[in-house]
Amino acid sequence: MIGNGAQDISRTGRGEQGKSTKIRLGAGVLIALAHLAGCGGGGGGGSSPPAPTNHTITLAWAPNHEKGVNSASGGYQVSISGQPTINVPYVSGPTAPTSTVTTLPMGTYTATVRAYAALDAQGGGAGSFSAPSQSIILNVP
Amino acid sequence: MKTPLGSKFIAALVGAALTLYAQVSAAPFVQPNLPGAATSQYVPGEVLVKFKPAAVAQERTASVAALGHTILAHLEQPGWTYVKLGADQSVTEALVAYQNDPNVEYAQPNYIYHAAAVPNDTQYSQLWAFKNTGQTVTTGTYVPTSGTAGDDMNIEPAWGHITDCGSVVVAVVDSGVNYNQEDLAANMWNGGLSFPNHGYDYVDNDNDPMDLKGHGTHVAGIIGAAGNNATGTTGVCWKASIMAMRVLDATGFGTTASIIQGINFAVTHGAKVINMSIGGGGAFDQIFSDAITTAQNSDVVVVVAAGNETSNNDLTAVYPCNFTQPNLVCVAALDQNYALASFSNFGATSVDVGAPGTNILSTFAGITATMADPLTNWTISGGWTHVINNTHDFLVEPTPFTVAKYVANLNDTATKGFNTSAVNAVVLNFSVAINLANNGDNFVVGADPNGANPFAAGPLTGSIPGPFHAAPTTGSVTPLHLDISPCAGHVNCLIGFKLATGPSTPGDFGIGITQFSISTVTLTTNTYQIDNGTSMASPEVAGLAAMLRAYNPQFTYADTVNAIKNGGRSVAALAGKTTTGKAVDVMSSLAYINPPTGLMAIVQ
Amino acid sequence: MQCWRPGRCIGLVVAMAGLVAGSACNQTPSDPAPTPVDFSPRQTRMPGEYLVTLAAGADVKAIADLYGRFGIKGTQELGRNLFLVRLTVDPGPAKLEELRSQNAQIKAVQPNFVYRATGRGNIQ
Repeated sequence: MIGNGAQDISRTGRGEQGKSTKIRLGAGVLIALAHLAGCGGGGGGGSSPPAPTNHTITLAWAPNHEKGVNSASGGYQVSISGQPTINVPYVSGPTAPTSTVTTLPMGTYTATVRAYAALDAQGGGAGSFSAPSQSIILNVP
Repeated sequence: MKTPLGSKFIAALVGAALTLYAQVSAAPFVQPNLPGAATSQYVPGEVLVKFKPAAVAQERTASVAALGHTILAHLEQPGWTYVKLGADQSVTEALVAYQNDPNVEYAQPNYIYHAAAVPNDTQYSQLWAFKNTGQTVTTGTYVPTSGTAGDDMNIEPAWGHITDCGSVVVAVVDSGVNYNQEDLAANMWNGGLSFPNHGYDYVDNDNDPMDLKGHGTHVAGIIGAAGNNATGTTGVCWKASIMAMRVLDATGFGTTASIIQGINFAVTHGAKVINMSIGGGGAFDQIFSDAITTAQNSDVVVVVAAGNETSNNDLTAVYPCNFTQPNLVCVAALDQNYALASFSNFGATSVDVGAPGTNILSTFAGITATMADPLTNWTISGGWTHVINNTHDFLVEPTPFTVAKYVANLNDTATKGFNTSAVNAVVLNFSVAINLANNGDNFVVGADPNGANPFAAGPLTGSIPGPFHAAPTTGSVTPLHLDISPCAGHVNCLIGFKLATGPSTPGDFGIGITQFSISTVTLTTNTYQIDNGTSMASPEVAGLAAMLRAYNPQFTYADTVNAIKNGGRSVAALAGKTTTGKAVDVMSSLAYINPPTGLMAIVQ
Repeated sequence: MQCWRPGRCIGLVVAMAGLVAGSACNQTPSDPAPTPVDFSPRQTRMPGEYLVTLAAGADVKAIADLYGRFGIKGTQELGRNLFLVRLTVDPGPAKLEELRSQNAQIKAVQPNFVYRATGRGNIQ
């Protein structure tokens, strides 16, 4: 039995088992559903593998346009409730990375991302952060 | 070595990196392939390493040597060591290596810090908007002429990071620009062979936008007078690319037609910031609004003045301030104590930010002069009479004024010649009371550069036809101004007034003229002048917009407007008077980072 | 604003539309009628001047067809189907809009509004 997860799939993404569900953030809050590989139907019989407890999630966002974000000592920080902050620093090229991959156990999470750069409001290198982005809710079954 | 300001921030990131899960990057600072040290925030080939207290000297030396690095110095800050990397070794790799060294507590780049830059322009100390020390503006005309130290645009720290906005074309849609002014000549837009005078003139419809009023030149200097050239003043940008769009005449008067042509030219020819220190009342101007939208669609920021009527723009609309496009920023004026200037318009929903707008010293088109005339010794044909009323000279017809009424079929004139040979712009000023009863009655005023008939139909002649009345018995006068610049360079500019009446009777009290003067501008290359107004506040923000777009070449108009509004500093005088309650703060806007957008999750 | 008689200053409001409507300039043999101009600082639009936007594909002669009855002194093309039209007699914006609404060739008509520099000069 998938339980709540199945209800979520049918209500939102209409995704099928074995397929990825990709959800884009619009004006409101959306729910990202985890892929449940190899889940069988309800009821007895058969030798279905146990449902995984961790899921891989890719978070992505639009690139900022500040030079400082997209150069040395710049980048992004992703915050997921109850999880350590994920740092996504600038590495090379014209922009800092705008995605990160993480794994999460079952649960409901709120995620935001903020950008940072070294330049501070006094003109030094103490750094500045943006305000956080609009949040999204991750419902990991 | 002074403790870097960034130590806490950096430590937080480094500390966070050390506790992340395996899939998370461990190093918060990764050295990119930088084209040159000038663009980096830290010194390539150097790091600062803080060893753990338990690590003895030999262990520290061994840690550094093991990586092929060299100790440059043991810093006074306990545990910190200044390390030079080996040839071709990157800061990124070094940081990762040191973080994996059990003897190391922290490692960081050797950051570069910029001192606030102060230009050496000779009159810089008078530019309180850029640096308010409480100084007295010696030629100031708005009281107070001194103010509160620190109440300024906080621009000097920003100049430590950028002074050259030349990559961003700023269009000054105004009375033109004296592009030969010594502090502007090097900062004018290169219009190539098609536009050799750095813009266009939609008043005279030619390609010479020379400023015959001074206003546009003053505005241009606030944006981009050459900085740090030991001359005159400086603009927000020390280097700039200023496009001159002449849409206002020598009296500062313009129309929808001339202005939208100026906007469209600017957009078509690559301006990314437009400044319009203009205001008009009346009804919503759809065509003007459409031009702002065209600019928005071309990713152009438009900065405008709030107006100088001390009025609430939320109640009485002033355009273009009251247009609502998201690429438009409307600016109120602050005085030297960061109070709202007494003349400044405001609006909780229509005016966005404040900026200094009193006693602003900037470049000017030339030397101004005013030649008053007592209205005596005019050549009279008919009933015009010079009288003195309450010590004021008047030229009236008929007399006694406001008692007698004029008769039918008049063609009475009063003329006088003026030598305007040594000037470049001429404006006729006078105040007048007008009482005309009938269709067919006319008050005509005109000028002829060659001493000929000033009443012939042409651009220097205008009339007010009857019926037209002021108060019937107690005429009040209203000031009028007429651009008669074609008289410039002529020794006998003949100016005339005419009362022409038709056959209808009875007549009315006729015409009373007073406060007659001729204002002139003689173009120079080295004039600077004080001016007051939201006209001066607007270009400070336009200059900031150019600086932001030059510093961040990928910025859109939305990024720029957000940085201007959100990077400002809260000022009590603007609370409830502007949408942001803020005065612009250049350094804070430069450091402002827009929140990321478009966050999404992909499940795999 | 200065008063002819001190203490009894009454504001002079120049309503240019009302001023020009229905009036005709006096004509003398030696002085052809000059352009009616109200250069008052209270003026909000240029008398007799209108910005006319043609509908897509419309011919410019539609302007003369519709507004020629007021006497067209000049037409200046400003690009993007927009024309500055100067009328001899100014019937006012409302009348022009009334006529426009009856003619699909004209997409829009509005006054040529007046704007001024917002610098106060070297004064308090």
